[in-house]
Amino acid sequence: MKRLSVLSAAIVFGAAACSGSSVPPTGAPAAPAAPPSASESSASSPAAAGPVTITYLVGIAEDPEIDKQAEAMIQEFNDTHPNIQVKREALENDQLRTIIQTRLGSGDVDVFGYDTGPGFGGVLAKAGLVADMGPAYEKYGWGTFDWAKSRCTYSGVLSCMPGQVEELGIYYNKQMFADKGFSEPATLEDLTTIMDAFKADGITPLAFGDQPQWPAGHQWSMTLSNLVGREGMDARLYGDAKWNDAPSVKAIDIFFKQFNDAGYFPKDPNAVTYEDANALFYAGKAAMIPTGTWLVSEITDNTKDSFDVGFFPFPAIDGNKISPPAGLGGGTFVAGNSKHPDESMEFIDWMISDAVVKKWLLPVFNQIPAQPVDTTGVEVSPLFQIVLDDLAQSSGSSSEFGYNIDVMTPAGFNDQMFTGFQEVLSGKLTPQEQADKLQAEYEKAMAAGETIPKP
Amino acid sequence: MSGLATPAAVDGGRRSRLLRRGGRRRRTPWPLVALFVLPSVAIYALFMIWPFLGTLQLSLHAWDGFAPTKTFVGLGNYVALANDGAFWNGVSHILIWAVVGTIGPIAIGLPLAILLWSGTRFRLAFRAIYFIPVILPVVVIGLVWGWIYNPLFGVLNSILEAVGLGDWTRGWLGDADTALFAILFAAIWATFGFCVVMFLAGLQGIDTNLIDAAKVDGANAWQRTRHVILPGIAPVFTFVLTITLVGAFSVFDIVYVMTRGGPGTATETMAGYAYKMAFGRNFAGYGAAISSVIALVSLLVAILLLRYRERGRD
Repeated sequence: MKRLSVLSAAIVFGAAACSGSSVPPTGAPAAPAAPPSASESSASSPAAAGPVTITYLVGIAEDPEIDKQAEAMIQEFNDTHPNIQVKREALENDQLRTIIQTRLGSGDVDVFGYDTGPGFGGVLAKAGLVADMGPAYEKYGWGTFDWAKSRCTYSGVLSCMPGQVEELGIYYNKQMFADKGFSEPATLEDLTTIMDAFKADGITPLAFGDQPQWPAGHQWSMTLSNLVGREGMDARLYGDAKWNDAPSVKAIDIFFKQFNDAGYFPKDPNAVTYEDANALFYAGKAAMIPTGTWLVSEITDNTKDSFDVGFFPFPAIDGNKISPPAGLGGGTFVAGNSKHPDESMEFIDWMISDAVVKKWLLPVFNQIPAQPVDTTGVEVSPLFQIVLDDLAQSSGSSSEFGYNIDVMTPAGFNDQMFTGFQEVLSGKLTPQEQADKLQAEYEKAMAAGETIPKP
Repeated sequence: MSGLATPAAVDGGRRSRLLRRGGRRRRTPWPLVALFVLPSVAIYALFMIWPFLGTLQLSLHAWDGFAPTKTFVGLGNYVALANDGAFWNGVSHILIWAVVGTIGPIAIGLPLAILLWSGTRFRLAFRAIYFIPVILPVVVIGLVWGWIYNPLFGVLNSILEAVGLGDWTRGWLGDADTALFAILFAAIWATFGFCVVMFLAGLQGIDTNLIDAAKVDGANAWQRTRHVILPGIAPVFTFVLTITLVGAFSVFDIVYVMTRGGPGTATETMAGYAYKMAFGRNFAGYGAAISSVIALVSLLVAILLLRYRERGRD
């Protein structure tokens, strides 16, 4: 039986528990509230009263077809669990962010998907708005990877079920590469040679659009992880190294200055949306897209009739080892005041069951759960198989992977990343100035206790 | 003193008797008045006054938006605001917006309204056409103009290239020097129709005999506009000015849809910064302080303009 348990060893991230909170600029943070455990809450659960309805609040899928499939998956649960009916509500992620506090306060949400970072799930846990899922982990024997559980642990309390494992890298048009006689680049020099050749042919080498701001963080995650490796990333996160030292600045300079000046991106990337950049690739007008593995389904759907797509991690820089950024794509939480915590945990247990993973998560949604997975008999797209293989090949030690920075860093730092990289692209900031501002934000966040504590 | 009653005294006495009789007949039915007024007052208090007071109260606290308790910090958020460069960056953008975004639609809307009023054929059709952008959702306007400005397939760059101005093409929303004005242009397009319709409504109240008399007196078009038409629509003018100016202080949606405040913070407004602080960075108290400042400034501007209008009436 082919198991992806090797993956578990591969992606051994820092065991640091995510904790901390956002502190208003003029006051001390409120004292943390004790989270109710599922068993405590279930004392008042009217489970015996018959069928119950639980509300599942989740971010909407970017592709409407995928969202439809998610509805179908929930319908399957409802059909097979007559005593529990799940009502799925899909919202835009920005909208979810603004209403989550009110919805949780009003008590009409049982299960919800949310980011796991200290500024997201960490704040909810601190406010006592999410249930302690530790007892459910024991009851159901969930085999979630330890590193993933650590991302869901706030102040020692296990508060969510980690979502899919994601890796950042570069998708490329195999046909275009074959036509030019290129293979996957192993070094930065190889990559620039390839990009120069495509640019000379009038093809956009790298479909990078930064209008929504967040894509920039992913690019820096790739270049910096490759320059400093896992240890260097840890050192920065724990305050042992600076975000404005020479490698950090170089990582900014390579992507946002050198690549931009060389014309490797679409014209004016600050005005190009993520979707438009992707569309360039789908239309065969761009050779590569630098983004994450969450896009596998969409890429497969959009290119299946036109060309094959490959995937490689950002190549080595200055002879350093490649450390592709990887991490969690969010988590599933149970509301602290849910009237049906037991049923909610049962629903989560179903969602990560082998049957659901094999029928829905892997083949339909191309999602890799943060647990050992049996892939026997599962048919996946060739592109998704490449991603699975890429993650599996990097097995052996934790140092294989870098970090996707924005899920590990506080909101103020992320804000500076997002706005500052746009200013580097437009020439308003130099890489050094942006790095200095990032370091200043990180120091501020560390002083406020908003960063991930050193294990 | 003469024993003769003056006409005024006679009139005054008659009026007072009439008033007394009328007072008995027309006593104000306060319960009925309350019945009619209370629902609207209650709705206004519930959805306007109470949230506003709640926001003011929240602005005096440090709160992350989630914790069960809030920390009272008095005016601390406002002090922090005064020293916050990002806030003043938003203020500077709003000042530009207030000037350009107020003058623009009025400067376009007023001449068009006068043209339509002065007898243009198909007046109704033009009025409807001009008003269409006003009824479109801001999100739609933002998306459509985003496509027009798009550097990959936008029609604006295509037109510039077609007429030999290829050097002018750019990512209009991605260039810090042009992004704010590109959004403003879209906002003016969305607003000028409202000005046309309002001014046209005001122009209906002007006696055309006055215009004819001015013509007979030899007044030219500008003089007729300056001395007859503009005074005639002064209340409407002040109303339109108030609406557009106050709207500028709280502008958020069209900016969020088109640039999210970027590139960098080149188009960030006060309201956008309040949203970012409250929901992006979990500084709900601080976001409330910014919102309170926006509300108070808007209120102040509205009061000043209304007082100016009332003074003009006197």
